[in-house]
Amino acid sequence: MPDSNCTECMELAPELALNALTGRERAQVLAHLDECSRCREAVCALTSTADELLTLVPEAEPPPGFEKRVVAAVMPDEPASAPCRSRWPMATAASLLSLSLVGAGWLAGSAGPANGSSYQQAGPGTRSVLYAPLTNHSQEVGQAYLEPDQPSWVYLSLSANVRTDANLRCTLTDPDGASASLGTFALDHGRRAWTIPVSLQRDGKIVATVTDDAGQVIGSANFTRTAPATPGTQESAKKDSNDSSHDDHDRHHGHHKGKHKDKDKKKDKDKDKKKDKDKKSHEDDDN
Amino acid sequence: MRFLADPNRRSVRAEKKGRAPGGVGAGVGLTDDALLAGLGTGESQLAQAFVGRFQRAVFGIAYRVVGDSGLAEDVAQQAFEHAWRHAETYDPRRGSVRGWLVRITHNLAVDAVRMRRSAPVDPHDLQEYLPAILRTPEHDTLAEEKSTQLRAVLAAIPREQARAVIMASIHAMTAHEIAEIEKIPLGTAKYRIRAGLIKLHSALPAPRDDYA
Repeated sequence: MPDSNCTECMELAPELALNALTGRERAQVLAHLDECSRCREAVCALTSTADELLTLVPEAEPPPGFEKRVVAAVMPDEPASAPCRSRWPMATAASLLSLSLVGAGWLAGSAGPANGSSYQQAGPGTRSVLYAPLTNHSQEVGQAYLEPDQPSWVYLSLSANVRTDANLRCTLTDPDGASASLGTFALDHGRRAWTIPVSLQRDGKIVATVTDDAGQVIGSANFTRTAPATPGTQESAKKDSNDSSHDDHDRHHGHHKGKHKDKDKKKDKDKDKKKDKDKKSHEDDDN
Repeated sequence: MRFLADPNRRSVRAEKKGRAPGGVGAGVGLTDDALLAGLGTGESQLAQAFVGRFQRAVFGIAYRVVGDSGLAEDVAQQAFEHAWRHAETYDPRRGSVRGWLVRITHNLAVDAVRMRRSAPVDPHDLQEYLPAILRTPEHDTLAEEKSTQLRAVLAAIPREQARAVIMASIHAMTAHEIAEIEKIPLGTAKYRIRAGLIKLHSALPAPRDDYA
């Protein structure tokens, strides 16, 4: 279809965007879009609006056990202590999220909780994923998470307002002060975060640093890795004595009490469902 | 593995980004984007958190399109499996993780229905569409601004145009099918689809072309 058919194409564009066009008309419009970038853009814009409509569809509770079945289906070979592995190549994992930075200054690498590093033992023999802000001169430029147990990984995310055209390098410094490169990441399409499998040998201070091509530090995150809790440790005792604060704690951090929480949620959901049902029956009455 | 996002503001920030409440994911201090990225590690806890966070949205769209709980469950599971295998295709500039999952689910649901169904959607079901879609869920205090605007515009345009757009978008019905169900001429069905979508599109702000 030549350019003179743009008018006809735009007549059919809404139906194409909604995927409601079939047969000859669809073929004609698609052929025209191959040649006409203006119409292509217009159809893309309409398609984006049509896609938004899908997000209005009300949520619904799946049958019991759905979550477990899905996890089992996607991770059929999940052993209790699987070796660190990536489900897609690291470069691909890196490309999942955007990374756009501006390198500025050199980080003053002070460590410890005062700098935002956080840590809490979650239970006997296990450790929480550690969180630390990625900072530069005390200014937060992103977020970092570190899984301290095998398989360990570090997740780094840069704030959207941090920009650079440089490729990024990430290094991990262990408690002995030895640094290991975690690789270089290209900044394409405004990507700003990535997940990297890491190998952690020792407990202590661990620093993840992001630099640009020139070695300028863009941001750094300080973690403190300590030994996992064992039954009867001070941590367990502390937890027991702080029962009254569990609810609030779980709301923000916990998964440890996930079952109780899920039960409560289910109650809430049931209430919601009932409300919806009541509402619906009123609407039906109105109709 | 246990998650802990220490500063309370981490949770607040995640919620501002439109994360749905509920499920295992509610306890995890990762944003939707971060959670999707974390799946690359192969951690089953992350997988669980991911499914827990989005299963209601995914099952909701699957069920709405296929109208059968068993088939909807199959479709929803396929959608998660597809998301796993093709996580790298998610582009944050094109929208939220939730929107991306919903699109994947919708495509699979429409395919499933087309393979199975010869008759179009039951007209009685259509009566539910607009009230259900126009109503902002009570618990959804985190509803994205765009969804709220979209609901408002959808409620403001002529009801028959809104119905036609919803039938075409959610049920992937053609103008022919809509004409048949609504008992209207084909030209009228086409006009309703066109006018409805263009009005919605014009009333919404332009999509972001810069993620920042």
